[in-house]
Amino acid sequence: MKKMTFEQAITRLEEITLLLQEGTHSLDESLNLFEEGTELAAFCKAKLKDAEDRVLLLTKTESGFQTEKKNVDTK
Amino acid sequence: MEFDLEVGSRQPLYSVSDITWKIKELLETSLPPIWVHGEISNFVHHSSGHMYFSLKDEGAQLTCVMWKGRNQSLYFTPQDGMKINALGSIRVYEKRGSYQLDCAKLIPAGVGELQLAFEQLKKKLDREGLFDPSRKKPIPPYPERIGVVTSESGAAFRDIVHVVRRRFPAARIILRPALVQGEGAATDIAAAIADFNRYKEIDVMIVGRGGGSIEDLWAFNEEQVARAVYESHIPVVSAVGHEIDFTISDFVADLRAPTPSAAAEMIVPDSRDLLEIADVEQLRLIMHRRLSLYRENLKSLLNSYGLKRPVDIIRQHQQRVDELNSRLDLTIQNTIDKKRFRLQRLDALLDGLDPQRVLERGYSICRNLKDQQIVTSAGELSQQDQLHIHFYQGGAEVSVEKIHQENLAMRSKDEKNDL
Repeated sequence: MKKMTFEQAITRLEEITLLLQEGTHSLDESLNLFEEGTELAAFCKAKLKDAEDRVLLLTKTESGFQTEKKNVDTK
Repeated sequence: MEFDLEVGSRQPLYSVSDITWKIKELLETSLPPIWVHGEISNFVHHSSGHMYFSLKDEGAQLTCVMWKGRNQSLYFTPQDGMKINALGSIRVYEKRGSYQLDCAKLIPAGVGELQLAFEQLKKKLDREGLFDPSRKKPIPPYPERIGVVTSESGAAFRDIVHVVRRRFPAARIILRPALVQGEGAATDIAAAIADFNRYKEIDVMIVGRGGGSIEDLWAFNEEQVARAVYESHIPVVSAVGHEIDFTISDFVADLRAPTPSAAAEMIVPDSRDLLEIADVEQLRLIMHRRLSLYRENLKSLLNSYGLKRPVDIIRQHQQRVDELNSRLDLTIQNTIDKKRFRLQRLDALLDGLDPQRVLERGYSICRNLKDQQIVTSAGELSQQDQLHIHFYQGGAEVSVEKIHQENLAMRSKDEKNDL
């Protein structure tokens, strides 16, 4: 699967779900859609469950910007 | 004080105009522009555009006028009962012998300088189109990279992180720390918004801080912040924790949130809803239903009359082909028979016309050698003409000895009748 953003993935997944529900596609096409949908669902799920802490601090450098990890305690 | 009752004695006699001018000069030169505090009464905004009213307190009242050219810049509408501070000069209106305050500025009393500045800036930016709803950018539905402009140590940032972690942990939060109150705050906030626009790698940004006094929040009411928000190519959510009042940046922002945590709630989706969409089981269920439908379709096709009795259909076609075949045979035979019959008749006809057959029966053909023409009448002949006579077998050359003219006329007549 090519690299995509979460938005692209979930949008396409919703589209596929609708297409399958409509059922206007041939069996072959439906199977392809199902396969694509399964991959997208797995991708989205993995993204949503991503527990990695993703808070960054943006600072300016001479050549542009850099980010570093920042710990934020929200408990 | 004593009055000399004699007219025209020691004291000068003034005309009304003279004394009025004197008063006018006294008043207008000795009183510089002044601020007067009072309550508005008898306010009239005349159709000419000028405003006429009185300012009063417990002990006195002062007639006031504010000319059209000046009152157009008022940001509020004066009303009876409103307490105001008016800046103006005392002018004498000679024709009525009255004096009035010619107002240059009116400010609602009790409203601070800040509030006033707020109102003025709001009006100015609104007129410039910075609040235009059509200029507002849509907030992306699933922002994966959220920029935040706020104080690094404040509660606002922790609140935002907390909400995003809970609802949409897939998102990355990038903080560009900024001073959010005091000297230099507005400049820093504007610079932070510009920084994110150069950095580019965010989908949306939250600009804000927690609640505070109007002075604490003031940076978000400054023009440079408003312009930075307006010029941002990245959608901006303003989140100044002051639920009731709006700041200028609230009006310019693409989305206004009442607090920083509300901003986070508004821009990130809830993973629980998304997990429902991304549920493979659900997809499988839909596919299963699809496949059952295909199976049903297939089954009903297999049971259809056409597929159940294919041999019957083939037989029916075979029969039809046979029928057509024999009909074709018959037609061709008929045609051949007709043609053959016609040929036989033509043959017999031709047989009868064959000159050999005629000669066989004893007739002969006579040709005049002079012109090779067949002779059919004695009238064509002259004495001594050389003729050739063609018999069934062989021929002979003869010469004409005697011509018999009888029956000639009669034959000619018959020939005419034949024609």
